Amino acid sequence: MTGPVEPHPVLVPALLAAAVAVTVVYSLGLSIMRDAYQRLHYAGPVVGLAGPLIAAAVWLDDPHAQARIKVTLTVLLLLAANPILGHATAKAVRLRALGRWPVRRQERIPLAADPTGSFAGDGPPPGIAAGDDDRGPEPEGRPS
Amino acid sequence: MNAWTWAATFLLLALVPCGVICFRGESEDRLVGLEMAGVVATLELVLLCEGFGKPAFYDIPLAMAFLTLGAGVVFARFLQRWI
Repeated sequence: MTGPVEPHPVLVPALLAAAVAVTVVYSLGLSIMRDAYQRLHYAGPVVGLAGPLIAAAVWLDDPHAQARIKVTLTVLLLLAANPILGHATAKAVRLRALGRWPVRRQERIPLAADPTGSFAGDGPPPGIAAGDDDRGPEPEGRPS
Repeated sequence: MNAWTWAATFLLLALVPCGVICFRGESEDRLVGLEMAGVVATLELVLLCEGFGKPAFYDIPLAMAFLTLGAGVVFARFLQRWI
């Protein structure tokens, strides 16, 4: 892992420029979007593109194993954390807006058996069991 | 100045839109801006560590990544329940 490394004169700056460009552009895009759901999508490329580009530049430029390992761990942690944060934030936004998390039949989310979301029958749409309630069965012992 | 410190300088521009959202948006938008700012700050710290030639300082962006995750989840929970 350690050893003499000739810093690449063109590739390292190019990787850094690409990482910075991706981050700046997607930050601007995040500010332009209209609501939180759309904004959440703009953190993904920053973590998924800019992070690995910077890690690649570190691997090319720095011979120290400590730097290489830690930047790899940092980028992997960001890659793992981003979907967790996105889900937690989207759930919080939805609960604040609607007061519930599960999707109701009336919201017409397209299903595999009903891709157009046009199901308008009285019973459950395809793929959902009859009597399927949003909250599921109450746990025993909890007052209703 | 080297390529790393220049990259770190220009990467600061990405914090400006995040700051604008944190100051102006709704609570949900502010949380998203905060999470994005945390990611950008982590990458900024990596660039600074490499630009100053201090591999021992890589613990700082690693800790920042952990804190970004923890803070984001905690604030999302607060936003969901109490704010």
